[in-house]
Amino acid sequence: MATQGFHPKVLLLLETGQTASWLMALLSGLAGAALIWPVAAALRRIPRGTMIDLAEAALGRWAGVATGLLFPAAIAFAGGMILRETSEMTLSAVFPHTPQTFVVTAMLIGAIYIAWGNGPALVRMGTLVLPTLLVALVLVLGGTVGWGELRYLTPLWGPGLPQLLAGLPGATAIHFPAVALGTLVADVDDRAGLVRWLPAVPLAGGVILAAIEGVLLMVFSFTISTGIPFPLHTAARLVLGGRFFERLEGVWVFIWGTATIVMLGTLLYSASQLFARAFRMPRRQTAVLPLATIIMTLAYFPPDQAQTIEWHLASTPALFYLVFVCPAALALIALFRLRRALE
Amino acid sequence: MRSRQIAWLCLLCLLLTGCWDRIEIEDQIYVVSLGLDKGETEHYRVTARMAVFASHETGILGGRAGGAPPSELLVVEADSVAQAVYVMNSSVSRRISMRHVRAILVGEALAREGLRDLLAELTRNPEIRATTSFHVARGSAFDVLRLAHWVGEFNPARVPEGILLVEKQLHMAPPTRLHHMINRTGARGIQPFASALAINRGVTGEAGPSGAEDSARAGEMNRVAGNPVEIAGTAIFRETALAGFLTVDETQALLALRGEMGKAYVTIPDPFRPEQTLMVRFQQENLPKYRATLTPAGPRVHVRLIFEGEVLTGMEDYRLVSVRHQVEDAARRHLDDQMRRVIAKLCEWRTDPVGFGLLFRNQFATWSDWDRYHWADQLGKLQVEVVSDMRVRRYGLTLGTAEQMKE
Repeated sequence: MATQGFHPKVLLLLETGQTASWLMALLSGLAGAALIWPVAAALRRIPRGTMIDLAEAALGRWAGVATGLLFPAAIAFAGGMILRETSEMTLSAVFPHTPQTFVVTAMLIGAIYIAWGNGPALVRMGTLVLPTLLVALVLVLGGTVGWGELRYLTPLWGPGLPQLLAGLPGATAIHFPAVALGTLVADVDDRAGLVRWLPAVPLAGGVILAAIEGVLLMVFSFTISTGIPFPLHTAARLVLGGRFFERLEGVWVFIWGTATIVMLGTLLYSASQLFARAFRMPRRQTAVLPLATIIMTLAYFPPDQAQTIEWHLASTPALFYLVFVCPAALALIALFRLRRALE
Repeated sequence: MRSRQIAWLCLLCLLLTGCWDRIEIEDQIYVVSLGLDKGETEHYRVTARMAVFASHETGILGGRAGGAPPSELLVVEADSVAQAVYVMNSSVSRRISMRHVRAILVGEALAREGLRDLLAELTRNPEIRATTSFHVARGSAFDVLRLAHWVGEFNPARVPEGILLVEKQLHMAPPTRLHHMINRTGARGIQPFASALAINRGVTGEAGPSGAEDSARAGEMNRVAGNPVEIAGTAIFRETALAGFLTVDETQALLALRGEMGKAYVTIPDPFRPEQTLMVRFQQENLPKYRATLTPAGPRVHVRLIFEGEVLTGMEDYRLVSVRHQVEDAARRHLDDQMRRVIAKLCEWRTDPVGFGLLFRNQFATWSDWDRYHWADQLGKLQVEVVSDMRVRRYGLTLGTAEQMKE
């Protein structure tokens, strides 16, 4: 979730939430937690279950197959857009002369390597990256807040409460990696712990995004920030550490690139897990390379940088219904059926 | 397992094929200051001051051969900055890099036309950083870059940093960076401003001393020799177009209203000897307290400011409380006058660099409500009441003259 803050997804919050985008981030965290809660409750009752088992428990075998196709498709699309956006940022900001294919391939190789491993390895990788990522985030936000103007956060309600609520589905969809994390429960050692903390993921994401949105609004104002494709990177360029510590964004870009690779690896792992489970494949790894190829292909679909961001932002509300509403509904049905079966 | 590891290692070999984006320092020449004027044949006349490394000539780090200048100027006309750099490179044997531009200076004529296109281009350019200092030249930016001879400074890359430092410590001009310009242009409720630089014709010998006291606009300071370029006052913008210049005193008043005056040296009329002046170092420790109300007659702002001061000149016996009160009254009156004058001038120019508009934004529930209010149109009706308080705390290392002490 912390990685999402560096991607153009924050623009979605800025566009729909305007000066209240920080509030929108908090609301999206709450909405995400509320929708993921029944999923966590259902997963707790299905032994070694994933989203596929949950769908099958709710609506039968074919629901499982449909979920096994739709979820990986959604994840692959989002992964493709994230891959393209990150490569665009890398090319625009750091390596203008490097071929895009090289950046995309290098990142994807890293993601494949991560996705190839097992669940505990992935968790360990996340544990390693998260503190670095959070420290980088705190340093960037702390280093740029001095450029900010608190009054840029007003008018407090941004576009108005009805518009804020109307934009909430799109904003909540930003937390979709939290649902992807739900697929890890089949593999990790501390399954109960992961399931218990699953609803907290969007909440934490909401708080992190609220901090990012608040600082971006204060530093750039809402009107300017919506035109910046990578607002946090642009903000990072403002960090001044005295006369001898300038141009620190190279460090941030490296950290964000690494975090994005881990995130892509997690998404790839999740998609392969669901796909393999739905089609009863004996080895999950068999699905990794084909899915990675699809992600790479999708990454090259948008014609340019601006369209990549537009496609990604435009598709996000649909992701909300697919990744949050459907699993929540399936979970409620599964819970209902399990209770009836017990009775 | 072993074959898989070998396969991964083979893949890693891809990373060893070289780097497309490596930059060799000796293959580059760095622009440190960029001047932009209105062009005669193209949209811009772009002046670039390039840093010339000692090692360029001697091949070693150290002194330069023959006392050659540490920087050189290139001037071209072009439709954009990017095109200008491209054209400049036709006469340079190294790749011109904008990664170390430390100062951007815009000429008056171009600034009056409006900087929307220029700011958009500078924002887009990944080589130019928003932390670059931003100035407006009264007259031509080219003249300023050509004639500037910063006393005691050899390194051209250090000059913009030095200017920012002087601005921050003395407040003769506001320390402004490109980010401030971009940010204030887009944020509704505040307008951009930048520090002003100019050629002093009294120093170049083209005119006599200006006769102005220290409260003058850039180019009008009472100087007779030294660096012909001076930093003084503020360039005020309406949207992205230059509206006018403020004097040094007006600049300090503007910064005081924004709560950014810090410590500033102000010359006030001597209350005891009308023909003389007193120099007082003002200190604005507290942020101004604003009260903004929307009335049927228009927006109204009440500002309360608190200053402390140190008297640096004068011939009075400062042990007497009545003397202190008179100095405080004179200082307060002077500052209040300056602030009222600045506010009147800004309202006349229909611009709001203080950011009074931001005080009203929280009185609107939504952005569209605020947008419909059209803050820029309200500036003609804006009423500002300034109340300041001044306490003189110190008088330097003596409290009076030797005669007064004897008494």
